[in-house]
Amino acid sequence: MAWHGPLNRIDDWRVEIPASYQSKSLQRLRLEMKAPGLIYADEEMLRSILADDSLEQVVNVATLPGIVGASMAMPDIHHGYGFPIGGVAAFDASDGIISPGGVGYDINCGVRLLRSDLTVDDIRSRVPQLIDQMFQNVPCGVGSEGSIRLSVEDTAQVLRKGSRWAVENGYGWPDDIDTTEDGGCIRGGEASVVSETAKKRGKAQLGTLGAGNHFLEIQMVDEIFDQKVAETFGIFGKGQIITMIHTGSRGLGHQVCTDFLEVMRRANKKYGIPLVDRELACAPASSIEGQDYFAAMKCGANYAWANRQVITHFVRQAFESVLGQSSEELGLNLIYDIAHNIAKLEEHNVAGEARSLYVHRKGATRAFGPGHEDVPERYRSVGQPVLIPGDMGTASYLLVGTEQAMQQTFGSSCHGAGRARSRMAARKKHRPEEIVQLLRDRGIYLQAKSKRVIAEEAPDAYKDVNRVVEVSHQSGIARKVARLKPLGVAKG
Amino acid sequence: MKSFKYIEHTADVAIKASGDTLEEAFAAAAEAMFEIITDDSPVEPTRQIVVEAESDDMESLLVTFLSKMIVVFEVERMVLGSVEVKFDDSYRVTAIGTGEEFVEEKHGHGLHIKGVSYHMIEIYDGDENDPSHVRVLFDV
Repeated sequence: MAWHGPLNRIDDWRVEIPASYQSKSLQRLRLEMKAPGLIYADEEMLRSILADDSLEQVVNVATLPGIVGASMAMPDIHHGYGFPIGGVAAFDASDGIISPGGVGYDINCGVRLLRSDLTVDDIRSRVPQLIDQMFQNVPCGVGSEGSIRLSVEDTAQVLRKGSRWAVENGYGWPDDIDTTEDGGCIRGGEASVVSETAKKRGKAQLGTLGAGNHFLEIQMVDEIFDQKVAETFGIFGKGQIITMIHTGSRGLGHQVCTDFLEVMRRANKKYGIPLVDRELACAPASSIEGQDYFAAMKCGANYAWANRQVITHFVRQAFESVLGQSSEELGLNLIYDIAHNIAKLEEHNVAGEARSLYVHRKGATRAFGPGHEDVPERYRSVGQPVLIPGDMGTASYLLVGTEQAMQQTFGSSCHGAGRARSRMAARKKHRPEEIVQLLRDRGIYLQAKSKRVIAEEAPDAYKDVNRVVEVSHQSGIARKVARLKPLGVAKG
Repeated sequence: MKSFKYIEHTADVAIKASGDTLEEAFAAAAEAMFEIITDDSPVEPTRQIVVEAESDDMESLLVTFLSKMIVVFEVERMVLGSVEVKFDDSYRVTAIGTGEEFVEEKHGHGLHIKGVSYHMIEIYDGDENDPSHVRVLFDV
């Protein structure tokens, strides 16, 4: 379906859908947009955005009660279900809603980045060995189970403590917690609101990667855009080896979303909230259903942080066994860990007034600017690191949050490249062997569980990450710090 | 006859599953999930599992029923080769799944289904000339 509604260009990087717009679905239900739509895109990006229904989804989100500011779309927006992927929406804490659809199934899907003191010249020939070792240490692919079996009590602790549980149990360093968003734990995770089914799904999956677009990558610093900020983040120069980890809350988080979509479906009727799309199912944030979801979502988020923390430990072990040096000697410190599927209770300045908001980021990254108390102290003078994974054949980026993001997007930016071509189309276009060869030609070693996933994750199935990042940079909602080029990829 | 086909969707996997009856269409959708999760290696009928689901309308019954298939895979660690579905009353199903324990080396790796969404959902109860079908989108 093509977009037929109005679009007003604000500047080179942003367009607006006026709140007066009434789509056919809105007319049918006599619903109105309660806020405008705001899309971060240049003309070129807009063309691909217009090819799917994602702008209708931006409009639909704007009809939800208590929305503040605008229903926003980051430059990597694409069609999701209910909320678009790449969507940011904030709702007033007292009279707004909270929605599992605004977070997604993979609660706290996110990315973390490890630095090192190594350069590409130190390890180029050993990248395949390192990737193979990581692939062995970190179970991946569908149905994969880890070496950790969580008891009922362990599970409750993981859901309450997040990364801290992992570090206390020997998976990682205390310092890792300081450089994880929210210290790897949102307070208020209450295991009693998480279903037994969800806990069963989480029991054997801690320390596992999953499948699809989740990955482990060895990358090298390819270009530095801001020397001072790069140094603050522990980046010393071009050629430096970096490791990226991309995964989420696995089956536990997925089940929390499934369970609460059903709770919200009933709550919608109870509270009489009209919906233009069932996947927007929500409840007043202050209601019992809303608060239960928020407590369960925190559990999912904490599980994801513990998961990435345990994987970090396995990745360090891979470096140690292949290179015969300790992780401390190799300088494998955590640069940062961010969530890109989450709802947060945050305080933001709205028209000169401090307001408590439930900020939903679905396929969007927090990008807090300099001086914010939630930015780790060591980075506070420059702003929060923003990690943008690209496709496996192009590049990923390290950016930094800005004051402009605080003013315009509740401190949010893009989260990745965003898909441009469907999995089916990618599979029709490429044989897996072709993609392996294409990556090899670019000097990238690939190890994957599923041939199908190789074809579906083909670099050209994604939007151009360089373009997505450029729009974020130029519009000022995050600034470029460094570009990272993949050398080796492990995929589920 | 149970069958399914993929429908184009940018980010996720959508299918249309058909059958002579709506029960068969539900079953075809469940079977499709296991084809998506694994590769196309055969599944031997060595174990059975009963799956029950209940809701208060047809669409949420389908979502609830198919969500339980993810649990069959992840918690029971079974892959199913065939599923028989019976509607007990209007919004309640009992299904018997036949298959075997998931073995990575044997069944291979496909896509990880995270959840069953309401997006694009469609349920069509047909007749002899026009088969029944369900359309559903999986978050992967």
